[in-house]
Amino acid sequence: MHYSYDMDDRFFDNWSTQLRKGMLELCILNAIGGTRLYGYDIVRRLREIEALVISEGTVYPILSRLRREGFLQTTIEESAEGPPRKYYRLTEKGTGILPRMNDCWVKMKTGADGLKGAV
Amino acid sequence: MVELSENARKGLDGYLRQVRSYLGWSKSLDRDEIEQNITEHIERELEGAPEPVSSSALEGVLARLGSPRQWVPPEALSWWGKLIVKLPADSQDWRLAYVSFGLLLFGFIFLSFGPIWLVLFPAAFITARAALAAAGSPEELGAKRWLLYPSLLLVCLPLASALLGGVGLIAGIIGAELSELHWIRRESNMGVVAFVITSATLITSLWWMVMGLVFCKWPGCVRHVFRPFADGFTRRRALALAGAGVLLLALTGGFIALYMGGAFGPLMS
Repeated sequence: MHYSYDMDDRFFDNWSTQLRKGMLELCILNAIGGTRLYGYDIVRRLREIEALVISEGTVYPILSRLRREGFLQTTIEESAEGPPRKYYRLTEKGTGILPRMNDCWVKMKTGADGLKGAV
Repeated sequence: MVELSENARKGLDGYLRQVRSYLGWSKSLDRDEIEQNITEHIERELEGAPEPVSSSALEGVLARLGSPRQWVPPEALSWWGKLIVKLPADSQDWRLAYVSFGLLLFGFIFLSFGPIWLVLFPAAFITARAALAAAGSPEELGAKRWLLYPSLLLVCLPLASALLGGVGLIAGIIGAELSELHWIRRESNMGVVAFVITSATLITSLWWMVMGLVFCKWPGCVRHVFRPFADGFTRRRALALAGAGVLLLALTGGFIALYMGGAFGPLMS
């Protein structure tokens, strides 16, 4: 049974990794929301979501991609505590897509929850 | 930047080196931006930590940041990068090093048994390059380098020799063939040996100048082809090569002038 347990673990790990990867963009955009946030603060907020356990380094490349794709914009501001900081804020495009992504997620979650009692 | 202990500094440099190397597999990611993100993140994480920050404190931060490989998302990888990420990157994993050295060894053993070495030597080279790419940077190879470098040298050394001296050699051979026809030789009554050497050095000097200027524009080509031996190749080195070409040209020109002036007498005829 040990073998089967390992297989189950591996299956669960793969599945949850894929799920987290898919959720990460939504979580990042939600974390920023209507405010502007420093990259490190975004990572810190995501760190608080236990089920989202991720390598912190995965967040930055996604921020970079979302910026390139026009969902985020950055501003660099001087900081009294150290080097200049890069702040992220949603663009118009980002603000437009976020409610759609949240709707989609809610529908998926509601649908998946509804299936639980179907058997 | 917070002050790091010597070991912590080495650890951070190694991490950044690996990230830089993996970022080389993607053309779409901004290296400077990602490197800035890493250093800023580390800076914030270590704020308030007793200085100089120990390597164990830094290791904790780097562990939470994750493997240097994950800075390049799979969708941003080139085909070569996608292949490399499937290879073992663990510094304790010697499989690729053994395979590369084994292929090289078999290549030499079967050298007199037909052209199978034509397959084995390139395979050893490709495996060694793959192992180097998977490690992220030569520094991460550790003792494995002694198994990998022979396969790399087997290709890099002849290639470098051909690049630097091949054109001169061909020019010398052609010069020997044309020695009776060339006007310089006729006018100066130059000996065949002197004419061959002059032709070879003249063409070599011009070739070095051209190569130096081309590599000055694209120094990354040299670093990439001769990795890891030319990792320090910069525009300055390329200019030095072009400068060596100019110097050789001047020496050759001086030699021709002196020869035509009869300075060498019957020597080198």
